[in-house]
Amino acid sequence: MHIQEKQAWLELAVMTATLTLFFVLVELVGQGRHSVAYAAFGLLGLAGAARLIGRRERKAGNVIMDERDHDIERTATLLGYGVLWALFVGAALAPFFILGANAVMPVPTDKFAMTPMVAVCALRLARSVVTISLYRRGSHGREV
Amino acid sequence: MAEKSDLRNRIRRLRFDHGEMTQQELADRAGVTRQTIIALEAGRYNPSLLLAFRIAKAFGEPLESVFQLDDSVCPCQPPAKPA
Repeated sequence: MHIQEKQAWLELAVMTATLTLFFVLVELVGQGRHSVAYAAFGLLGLAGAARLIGRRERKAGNVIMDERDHDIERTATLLGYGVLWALFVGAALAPFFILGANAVMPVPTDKFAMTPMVAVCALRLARSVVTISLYRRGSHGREV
Repeated sequence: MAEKSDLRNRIRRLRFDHGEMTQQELADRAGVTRQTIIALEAGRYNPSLLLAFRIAKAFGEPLESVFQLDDSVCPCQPPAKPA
């Protein structure tokens, strides 16, 4: 398994855990205390462990990333931003279609302030899923 | 990227013709990872021109003996030679 794919698996696990914990906390702590759910973003620190993956290979001077890996990275980032944009447009339009054109929607400011963090997690989650799928769709044969 | 490549190649054949060179050896010579060699052999990746030249050089072969364009993709005809 390529180093970038291992890093994507770690990122997928960390982002899934973070978002799950965040939404569980938002539900548990109730209205008016949403900022407590910020604690979930502490898990993002675990994503830093991705730098440890492939350290040995880097020290040995082996080729870690070549043009194909950069292609995958670029595609995953583009699609990740695409997913983020789709979520943003969907979230902006959903109230209009669900509540109607003249509805007023009160959103607590602390909940609103969390959206950038959630967006970053969603972006990185989408990016890791695309990275893994692009590596999976490539060949992973044995040495022949 | 994951689609079937438009290029056919003889990398696997050439590896065996060159003393059963391993994928890792070829990867080291061409300056790429083994996964890229695997993807190339499986026809799942179109290399850049630079990488194609590096692989051909690793075998000591001309580029066109390693990589061939699939005729179904480009039924291009060379220009007619002037009479």
